[in-house]
Amino acid sequence: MSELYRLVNSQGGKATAIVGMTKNVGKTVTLNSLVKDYEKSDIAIGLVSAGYDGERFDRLTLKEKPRIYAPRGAYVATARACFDAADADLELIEVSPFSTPLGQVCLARVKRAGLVELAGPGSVSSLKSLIEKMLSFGAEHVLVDGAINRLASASPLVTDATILASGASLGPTMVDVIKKTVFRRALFITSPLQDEVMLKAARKGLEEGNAVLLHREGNAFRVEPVTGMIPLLAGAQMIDMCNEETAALVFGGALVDNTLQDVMDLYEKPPVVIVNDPTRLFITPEIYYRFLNKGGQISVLEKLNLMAVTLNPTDPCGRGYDPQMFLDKMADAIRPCPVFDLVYQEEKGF
Amino acid sequence: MELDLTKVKTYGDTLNDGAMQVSFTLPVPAGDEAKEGARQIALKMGLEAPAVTEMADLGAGFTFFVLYGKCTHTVDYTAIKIPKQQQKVLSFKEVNALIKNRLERKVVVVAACTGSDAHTVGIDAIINMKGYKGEYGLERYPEIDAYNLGSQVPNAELLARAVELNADAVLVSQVVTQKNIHLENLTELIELAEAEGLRDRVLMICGGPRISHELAIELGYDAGFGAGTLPNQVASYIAADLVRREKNGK
Repeated sequence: MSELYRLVNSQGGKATAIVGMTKNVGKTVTLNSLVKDYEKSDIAIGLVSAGYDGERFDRLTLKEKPRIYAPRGAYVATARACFDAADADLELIEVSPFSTPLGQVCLARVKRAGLVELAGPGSVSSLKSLIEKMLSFGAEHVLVDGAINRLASASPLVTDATILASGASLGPTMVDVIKKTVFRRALFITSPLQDEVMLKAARKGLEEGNAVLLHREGNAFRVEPVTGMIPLLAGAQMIDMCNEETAALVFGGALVDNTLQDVMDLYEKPPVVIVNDPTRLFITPEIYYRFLNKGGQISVLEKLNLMAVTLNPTDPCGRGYDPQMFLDKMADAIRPCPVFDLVYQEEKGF
Repeated sequence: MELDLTKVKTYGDTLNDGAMQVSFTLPVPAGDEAKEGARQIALKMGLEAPAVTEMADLGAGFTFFVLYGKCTHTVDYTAIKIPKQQQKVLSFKEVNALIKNRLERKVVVVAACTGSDAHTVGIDAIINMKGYKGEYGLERYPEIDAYNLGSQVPNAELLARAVELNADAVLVSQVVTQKNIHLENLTELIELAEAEGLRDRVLMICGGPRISHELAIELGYDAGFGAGTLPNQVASYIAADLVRREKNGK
């Protein structure tokens, strides 16, 4: 059993997301390693992809990819065409209402172990519903494989914990790869809002608008909800309504560079910026660190549980790093977050 | 001789002769040594009795070859399983009739080349009234209101416009290169749509020379269309999926 498996299994959640910094960083390798250990422990798992996994060759690079092995007794959710073409023996339980170009997503139980291709639904709400279905059928834990650099499946609304895959293909140098990973982790571990009164006010405001201003009023807050066609536009609108008493800005959707820049231009010491969860942060390192340096604080309503980072020291299109050195440097940079190179560590026998 | 589908061989003159033609270039000057080099490569590729039938000097020390040989490999055709796209393609008239009869309202489609991409050939072929290869573009469909926002549209702006126009479908055109430069622009749009709570409200469709249905699923889109796609294929998909969604009550 790998250390990573022990981590996932001990934290008690029902669903774990495996998301990647980019393509070819080893999301599926991480998934397969966990699947193997779950099979050994005789725990029924559910498998679903936020994208398309398990095909023989990469759609873009045409290089061979790791395939997905579904153990007996596992549950899978995959598009009709992949269900029909599976090498594993699958028993259909239910056809979900979610459609893909390869047909409706089917929920099935694995009768004979084998390879499967997982083609998942387009939206995160569908993913969430498929996870719940598999749990209700008897899966004890669901693993959600990510796609490319998409992170939405890591949202605490969908999964209980997240494993972030990173690797050599992320950037031209090891320093760059580490820098980008450190930044993503910093966003992922954005701390939840501690101030109970503010938290309550923020939640209340979001029931009425898709962005909210919280103005200080004695010991409490005056809640001013703003409604725009989409939260992004409401957020932009909110900037014009800020005053000296504004203690917090709550964004019901995405937080983008422009908005954060506007907030910085407005204040010497900016108000607290609040988003639902870390997957709503669409900001670049430059703006983020400038905001923090100005004394800014970003908080989330729902915390994301980043359990570990896994590494792939080789880039299928070129360079590779010494696995031990890469592992050590990354571990140093993101301590205390556990870091694994599952392939290398298995070879070395730990 | 019977055709054995579990051991299919390449075909030349007679069944199972394994005959095959290959062509390639070697970075050496034309000559007897180059010819022998080409033959040895073919042998290593699994071709029996390879013969060089054409050798052309490309200049600057390069030589082009055509060879014939007998391929020794077979494939088990019966064991091949390929997941296939399930969408039926309708004609211009059928799409309009489907929208008119089943949806009883016009369908709004918003299209753009997003991010840094300025390659509008693809999106124009699908949207422009005159269409492509004899198939009218979506602008010509009486039951579709199509808006072409042009090129280099930022993702956030595209989403805002889509909501403003009450779009049923968003069409994004991108030239995805081997180095994945535009890939992350496509995923960012999807992630933004998720964060903004729009993902379930709008059909998200991508298109471009390297995009396939499978890649679209990977990118998080509802559908993807590659090179050579005709406007009615896109329109069929949009109409059929909206009808299906309406039926499912979402």
